[in-house]
Amino acid sequence: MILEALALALLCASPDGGVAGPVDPTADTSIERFRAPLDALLERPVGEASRAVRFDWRRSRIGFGVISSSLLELNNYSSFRIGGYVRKALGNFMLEGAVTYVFVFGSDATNKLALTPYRQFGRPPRVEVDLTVGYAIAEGVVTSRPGLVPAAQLVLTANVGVRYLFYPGGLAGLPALDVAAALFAPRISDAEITNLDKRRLPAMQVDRARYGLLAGFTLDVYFQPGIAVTPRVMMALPVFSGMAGAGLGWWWELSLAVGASL
Amino acid sequence: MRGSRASTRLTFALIAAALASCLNDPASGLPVGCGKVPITDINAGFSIADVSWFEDEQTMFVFYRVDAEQGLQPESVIELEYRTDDVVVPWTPLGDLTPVHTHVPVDCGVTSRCGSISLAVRKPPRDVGLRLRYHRAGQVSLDAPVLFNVVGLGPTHRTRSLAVYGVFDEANTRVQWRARHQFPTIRNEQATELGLRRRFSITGAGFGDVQLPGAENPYGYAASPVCPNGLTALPWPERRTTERAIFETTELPLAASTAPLVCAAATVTDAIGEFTTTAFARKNPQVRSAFPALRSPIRENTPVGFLLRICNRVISQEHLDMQLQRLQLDGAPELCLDDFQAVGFADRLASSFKQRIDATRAAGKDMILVLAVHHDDTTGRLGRVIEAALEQVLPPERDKSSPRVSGAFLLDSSAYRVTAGTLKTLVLWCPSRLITQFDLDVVPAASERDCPLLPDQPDLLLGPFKLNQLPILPTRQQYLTFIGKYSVAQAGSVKKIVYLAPERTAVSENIPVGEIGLVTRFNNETISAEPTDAFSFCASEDPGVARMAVQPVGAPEAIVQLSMLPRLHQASPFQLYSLGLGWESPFILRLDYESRLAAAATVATFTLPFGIASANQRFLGADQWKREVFPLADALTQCTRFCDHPTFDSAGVYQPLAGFRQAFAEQCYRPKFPVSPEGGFPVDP
Repeated sequence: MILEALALALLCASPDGGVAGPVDPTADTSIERFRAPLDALLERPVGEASRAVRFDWRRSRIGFGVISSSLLELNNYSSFRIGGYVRKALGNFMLEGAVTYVFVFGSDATNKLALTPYRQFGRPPRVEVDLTVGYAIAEGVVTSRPGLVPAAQLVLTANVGVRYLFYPGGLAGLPALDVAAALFAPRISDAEITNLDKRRLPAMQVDRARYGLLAGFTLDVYFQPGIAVTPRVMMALPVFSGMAGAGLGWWWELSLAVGASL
Repeated sequence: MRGSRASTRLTFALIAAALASCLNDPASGLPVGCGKVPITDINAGFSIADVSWFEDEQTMFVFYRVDAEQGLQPESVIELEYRTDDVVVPWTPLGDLTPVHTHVPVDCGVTSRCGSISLAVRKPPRDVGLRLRYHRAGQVSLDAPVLFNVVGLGPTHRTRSLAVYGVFDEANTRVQWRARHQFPTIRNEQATELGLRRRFSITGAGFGDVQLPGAENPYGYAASPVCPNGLTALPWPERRTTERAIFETTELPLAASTAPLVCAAATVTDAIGEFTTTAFARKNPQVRSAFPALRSPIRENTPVGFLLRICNRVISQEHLDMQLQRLQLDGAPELCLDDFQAVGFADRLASSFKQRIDATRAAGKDMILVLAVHHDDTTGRLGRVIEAALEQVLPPERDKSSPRVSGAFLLDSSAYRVTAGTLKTLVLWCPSRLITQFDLDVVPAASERDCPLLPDQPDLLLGPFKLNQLPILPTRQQYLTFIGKYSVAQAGSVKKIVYLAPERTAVSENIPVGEIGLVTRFNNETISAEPTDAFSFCASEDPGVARMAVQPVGAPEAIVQLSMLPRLHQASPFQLYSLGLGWESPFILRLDYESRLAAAATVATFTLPFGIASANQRFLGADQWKREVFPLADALTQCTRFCDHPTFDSAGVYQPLAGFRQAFAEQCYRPKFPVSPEGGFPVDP
């Protein structure tokens, strides 16, 4: 409404738009050639401004952050882990290494199970070392809602990773040579089982696998200037179960990582 | 493209492997890999659930061991129930019961729980039950199949759960007192492993001689209620322990050297209180080496050489030269064999030998007759003539003291084998008859030889090359054939011959054994023994030990191998045994020679011989003369005191039923004695 009134006022003030009268020969008309109609002024761009919303993760030198997970091992124990990660992009691939500590909790079911001659496979508290390779299978820039959240770069990655489990105290009292051998053996030795018996939860039968193979998907959400929020779902593939004597089969892991890429 | 296919295959393989886990879980064998983690039974079971009640002690002992594949938890408990005429004990954790004796906690590993307990039970128990409660707060339990025994009243050494005995150290001066668990179904060391510790004490020791029961009471525990009179008291303080053994701190006095045992009062505890009876420590058999070593000095013999040849014609100068070179007989006196069939030729030959021997004897060294025989007689008559001559010389010399002629070494022109029995042990006659067919291209591979000198390397053909080697002591046929092919330069040569033989004393005596064997007593070596002594022979890898023989002094017809001495002395003991050394060859000669691996390359009918020289050393004769000392310390042990006492075996286990005399006559006696101050828990299964 205001703009329309203003335009009408300007039209009324214009010589072409008003009543014809005598022309003052002394009037300065040198500016006339710079005059333009209001409509033209309204249609004409007066300047440009832009802001980048796409983050080029391939050019980042290194990424790091904090990762936490919940393990759905399909037994009666609850496992939560937290740690840090470091990642590096190589073309379409993303290499990632992570170290996490896993907290394990029993449940009412396991407490009652401990009263019986039965056990269930589980894993005591431990340190896990992951080495994961991801391949970007889809990516793009998206706008966010609500609007105050800036636009983000989404990258969907297919992942395969190897996980190494280290049980603190498991190798206590073993000769150095046995420790060296046990560190890399796919199956936890009897001596380690003896040590871990003091750390296991009630009714827990310690799973003997030391390595795990996981596969899944990661959704990296990059915000400028490099903030990354990464939800991830991974599934443990019991490929080496027979060799490692694992009692756990398929299980899931849901992770959320927050970090930065430089 | 190839990489893509490979990765696709790998992906499918991983998926297939993962899916396979859905079909069969490797741990439980159930198809649960894709579902929830299964619950598995720990498969617990009792391997030991033994209960014994001793009426004399009014004590009930419980031993248990329960195993579980997946282990037990700290909250698991073992419970016991029983009843008597006086009391009913319901299921009660063992930890809530009051033990009679000390029972230490036992760590049997994470998959096992084991231990023991002893309870005061005045009357015979019945309905004894043992079970595992999986969790102290739980209701689920596992009943044990209990082995229950009642040990009633009877002889103390059979009806007590603990026997006490003593043993001595190696010097027989220090006593180690030991306790031994006696349970119907649990072994001594097993009871210790299951945590049982018994306290026992020793007081009032004295030494002397007491007749102990035999196998009926092998440890002699409680052989008498108190130590018999007549023993000499020892001022030893009381010794007390909860382990299974403890050493006395003081040695026996010298006055106790002849005393066979020590008696003491041994006190053990039970549910009633204390029980005291006698315990005995018997000394170990007192042994020594019967004859530490037989020493027979070996001396180098002086060769007395002769060339025996056909003088009226030349058979083969090359062969003759070879014989002289091989035996190092350059300049040796020649004796002609042209009329060897004449009557009395052997006598003349023997006379020539004797004259030169007697002349050489003045030098004071043992001699050996060395003969090179160069002839072409193929009938064997010449050999028999030479044998006849040697029979006149060697057997009388054999029995003389040094200096004497030890034997004869002879290199013939053709193979010959000695026929005279008396010479078989005195003459080394080369070359061997068994290699007479030896053509240089066909070497008999592995045959026993009486003059075992064959080429180091048999004939070898490598394309146009032919390799061969001449035996260093060949027949004339062999030699001439060889040099025809390869030349004299490839036939090798002897560098040095050394003859060694044992020195005989004036009292040395030869005793014939069998057809070709002799046993020589060199210097009146004898073994002295009392009738009560006992011997132990230990078979040895040393061939010298097997050549030893003993002859009871006073029984010249009875000569036996050393290994028979223990039984011989048990059957009919003698005071003295002569020790001799058996032999089949009187000397050994060391031959240092250079042999050549002769080679000939034949190309277009042109043969070029050449050779590769190598230095060799061979011994001919009896190996036993390579050394002067024959150790017998490990082979023959003589017990001079306490020979019927039990003793230790090589593992350190005390064998109360194995006296030295019977158990070790034909076994090695290598006991392992306890060493002070070690104690604790000796090996005593």
